[in-house]
Amino acid sequence: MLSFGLMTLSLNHEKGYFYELAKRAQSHNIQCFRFVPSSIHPLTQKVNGEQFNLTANGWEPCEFPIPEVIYDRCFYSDDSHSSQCKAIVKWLKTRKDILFLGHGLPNKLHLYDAIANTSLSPYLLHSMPLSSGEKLIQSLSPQQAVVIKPVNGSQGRGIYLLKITSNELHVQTDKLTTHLSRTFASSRSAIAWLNRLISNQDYFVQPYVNLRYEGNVPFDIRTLIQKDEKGNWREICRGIRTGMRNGIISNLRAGGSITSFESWIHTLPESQSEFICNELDEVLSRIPIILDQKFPPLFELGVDIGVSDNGAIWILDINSKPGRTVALTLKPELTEILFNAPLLYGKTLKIRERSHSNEEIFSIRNS
Amino acid sequence: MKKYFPLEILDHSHQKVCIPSQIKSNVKLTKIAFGTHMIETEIEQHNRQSISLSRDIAEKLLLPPIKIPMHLFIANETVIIGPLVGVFTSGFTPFLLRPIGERSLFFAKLLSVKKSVGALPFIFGEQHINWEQGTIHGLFYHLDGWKTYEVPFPNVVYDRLPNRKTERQTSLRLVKERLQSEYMIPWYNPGFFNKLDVNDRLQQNENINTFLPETYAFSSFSDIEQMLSKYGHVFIKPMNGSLGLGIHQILFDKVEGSYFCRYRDLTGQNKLIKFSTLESLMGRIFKGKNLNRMLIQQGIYLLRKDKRPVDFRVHTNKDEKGNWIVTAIAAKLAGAGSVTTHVKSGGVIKTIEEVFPEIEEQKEVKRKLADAAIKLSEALEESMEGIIGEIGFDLGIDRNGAVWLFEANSKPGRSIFSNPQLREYDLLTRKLSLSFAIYLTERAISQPEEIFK
Repeated sequence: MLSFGLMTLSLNHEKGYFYELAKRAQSHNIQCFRFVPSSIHPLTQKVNGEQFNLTANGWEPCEFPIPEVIYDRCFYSDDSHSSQCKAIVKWLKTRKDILFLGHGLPNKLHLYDAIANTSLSPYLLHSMPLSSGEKLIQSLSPQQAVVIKPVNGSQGRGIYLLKITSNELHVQTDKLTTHLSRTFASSRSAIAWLNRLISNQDYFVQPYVNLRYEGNVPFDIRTLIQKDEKGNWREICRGIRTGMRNGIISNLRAGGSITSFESWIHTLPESQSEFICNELDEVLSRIPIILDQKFPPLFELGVDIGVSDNGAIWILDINSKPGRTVALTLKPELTEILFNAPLLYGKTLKIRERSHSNEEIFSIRNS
Repeated sequence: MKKYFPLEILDHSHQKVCIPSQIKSNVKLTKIAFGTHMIETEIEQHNRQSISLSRDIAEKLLLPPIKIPMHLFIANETVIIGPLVGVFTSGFTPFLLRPIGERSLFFAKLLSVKKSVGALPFIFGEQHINWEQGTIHGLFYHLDGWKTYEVPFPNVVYDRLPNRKTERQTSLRLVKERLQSEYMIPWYNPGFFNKLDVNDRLQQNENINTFLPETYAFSSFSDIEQMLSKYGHVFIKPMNGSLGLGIHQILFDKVEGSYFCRYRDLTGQNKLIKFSTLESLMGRIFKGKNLNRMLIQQGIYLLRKDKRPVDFRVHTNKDEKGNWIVTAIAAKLAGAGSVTTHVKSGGVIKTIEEVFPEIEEQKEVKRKLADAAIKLSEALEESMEGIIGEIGFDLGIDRNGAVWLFEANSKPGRSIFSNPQLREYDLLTRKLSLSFAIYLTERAISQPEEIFK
């Protein structure tokens, strides 16, 4: 039986998703465990976590060796527990006997730097590190609003839209269910605010493109692409996610809602909808190929695409730990595919590794 | 023109917001906000001079059931009612009768001016913040009692941390960081001034450096000797001191060739001790003290009244238009044999009228002090980081009539208001510290006239 580890920063995270996976594991001859990286004993290298009991239909505490295949679903923040776990995961990834379903992507700025010179570049928003408040304020012009984002951000947190006029800096951000805005009436106070913000975490700057449609509601196209059983990339779903009125981000956490891609694309004139669909197909097929060339193997990707007023598409975010909410909401018929995919791909990984090591043995014998 | 209106809750309607018709907006108003909470709804205008909200809207906005008039601000498509002012402090007790211990009365007084100002203030500490929900369980003082209500994050925060020690606590600093950077909430009265820092920054401003006595960080005995020969006496004070603690006066008697040290000892006694050399004085008085945290200041021969030196406490506040105004002036007579005029060292608070019998003199003294305090406030504001809303100055006038700055406090104490004739100023300073929140709220929304430099 293949041991399959679901790894998170807290056993409370993604309970629903993990339950669905674990329930289906047995039929693939897989035993599911879940654990937190920090619960690996440094000496015995045994994990204190939980294993799924199909008969009891639930998780039970258990001590077990580090699973053969790990599905990394850790979402890090700035606290000490996060940095502790990050270090442990880094160590785990160096171990040859453990397979990671996906290896994850570097921070957003490194990712940008790695793919800025590929064929994806026309679809990327130019990204620059935010090194100091002074420099940013100097570089702003009333013609071009900018967005600043944390390089390690996720779920739409910590994103600010900055607009400068001749006499003030206007800043907007979305929080939970509210939209905050603030005007800084002097460059001194604006610089002080920016420097305070970047002293806590690294930020980068992008030009702001107007990605809005009807009634000032921000929206973007959320796609989920995954590897199938054979390790081939496929697109699972496209959806539209809309944010708050006058909000700046369309994230679910910040109070967004989900609608189908088809119902939106059909509202566009045919020439435009055809153009957008072609572009999307093109970009979505290229992304995983390019990332596979640049980075260690991945299992799944969430790609957020924005459409600007002129119909151009932009890659807003590529996430190696995507959510499934959009797919499950719009296409409930995909439920089985979604809840089996990680297990099936995990099995493929293991089989490939075995055959790979067999090949090595053969090659040694033959030499 | 800024205006505030009474608030009215409508029990029998839903999703209804009405504001007075004279409020003008170029765009259609579609949202209402209170603190950091905002909801979309239709905004109607009516001919009454009130802000009317249906109960469901008030509940969603977490508007506490305290009926006081509030200001209306317009930003984009949003009507903002408030300001909701968070007063940040620490040292809470579990008792709702005196929730902030000894300082409960001070805060009760501060909050009780809300009605006449048109702002809704509450007290909160670190433990009252719910980051997940974006709310605060704030302490409100209303109808002579303390009550807790859950409210959104405020429009501005007024920092009333009690002392430097609490200010350095990491957890409190993080709260301050987060509310200012992540939530972009303006924060006023940040921190306590460091005396030498204040001096260094002001020294660079030509308009006001004539008010500054020569001041240095302690480096050697010869500095003290030099200052003594120049000025006859010097003060040695801790860099971050307050309440006059640890201030020593060193005098040199040219005739006798001996040194005197005047200070208040640990038991609260005012002492004057004679030494034959400066080394013996320093060795004895500052034994075991870290001289690197001390500064040396030129002694000044102050005006005297009944043979006791007089200095002045001048309070300045920013008003709701953002201008500095003088809100209180008091004279302080030193206690007999005391180094300072602090009340704890036997000092007495008097009005200017009590100290200067002649009307012309009263006017002249007030004019000089007010002029200096306004200039100093503007210069300090310019040179300090963060937003300053009030300053307490310790000023002196020497025998030649020149004004001197001894100390500037970003969180001035209120002991001068113990003089019955100065109580009206107490009310005024409290009102203005809240009025300033209105100014900050409006500025954080928009300030089109100001040039963005």
